[in-house]
Amino acid sequence: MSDLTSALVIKALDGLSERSVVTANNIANAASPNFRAGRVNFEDALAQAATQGRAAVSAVQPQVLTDPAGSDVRLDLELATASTTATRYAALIDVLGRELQMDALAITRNN
Amino acid sequence: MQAMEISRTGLDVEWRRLEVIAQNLANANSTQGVDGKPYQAMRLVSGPKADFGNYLSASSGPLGVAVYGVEPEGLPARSIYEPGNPNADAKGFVSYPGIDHAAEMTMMVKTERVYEANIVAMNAARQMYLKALELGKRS
Repeated sequence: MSDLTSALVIKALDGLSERSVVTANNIANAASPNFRAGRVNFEDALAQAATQGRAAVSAVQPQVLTDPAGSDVRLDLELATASTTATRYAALIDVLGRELQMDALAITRNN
Repeated sequence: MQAMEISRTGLDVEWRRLEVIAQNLANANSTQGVDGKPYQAMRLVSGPKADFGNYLSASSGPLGVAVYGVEPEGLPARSIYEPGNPNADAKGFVSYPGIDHAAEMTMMVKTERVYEANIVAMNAARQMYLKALELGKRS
C-alpha cells in the first residue's frame, strides 16, 4: 500500500468520525424547534486532493454545512446516515488494519 | 467519544420530556393543586446545547441538546357543573385542568421515537469506537 493510500484512508476516517458526531447531534436535536441540521462533506475535496499528491490530501479538512432554515430533521434519513457512516468506518479500519499487518509481516519476516 | 456524549444528552432530554407528559396525563383530573388552582399542563422546552464560553469563537463542535425549562402550556381550564364536588365554586362549577389528550399522546409517541433514534445513533458510534480498537490487532 502506498503512502498516499494510507493518508487517504486516515483522512476519510477523520471525516466519517466528524460525520458521526454531527449526525448524533442532529438526532439529539430532532425535537428542537428551529434547529438546522448539519452535514459533513469531505469526499469531493478528498477525491480532488488525491490527484494532487500527499500534501494536498493532508490539507483536506471536513466541511460542516448547515441545512437551510425551516427544514425539519428526518429521523429515518439521519439513522441511515449514522448506520452508513459506521459501516464505512469499519470497512476503512479493516483496510488500515491489513496495511498494518503487511508492515508487521515485513518487520518480522526479514531474516 | 463525542458522538456518544451527544446521544446521551438526547436520551436525557427525551426522558425528561416523557416525565413531563406523564405528569400532565396523571394530573388530567387534578382540580386543585397546593395553590388552590387546577393543575396547569406543562411543556418541556429544549434546544441545541450551547457552550457560552466558546459561543463567539465557534471553535467547539456540536454539543447535543439541553433542557431550557418547563413552561406552562396556558390552556384554559374546563368548567364542569358538579355541585357535589368539594372543589366546586358558588355556582357549582369545578375547574378541571385544560389538557389536550391527543396532543399529549402525539408528543409521547414522538418522544419515544426520538429516544429510540438516540439509542440507535449511540450504538452506531459505539460500533465505530469498538472497530477502531481493533486496529493493529493480530488475527
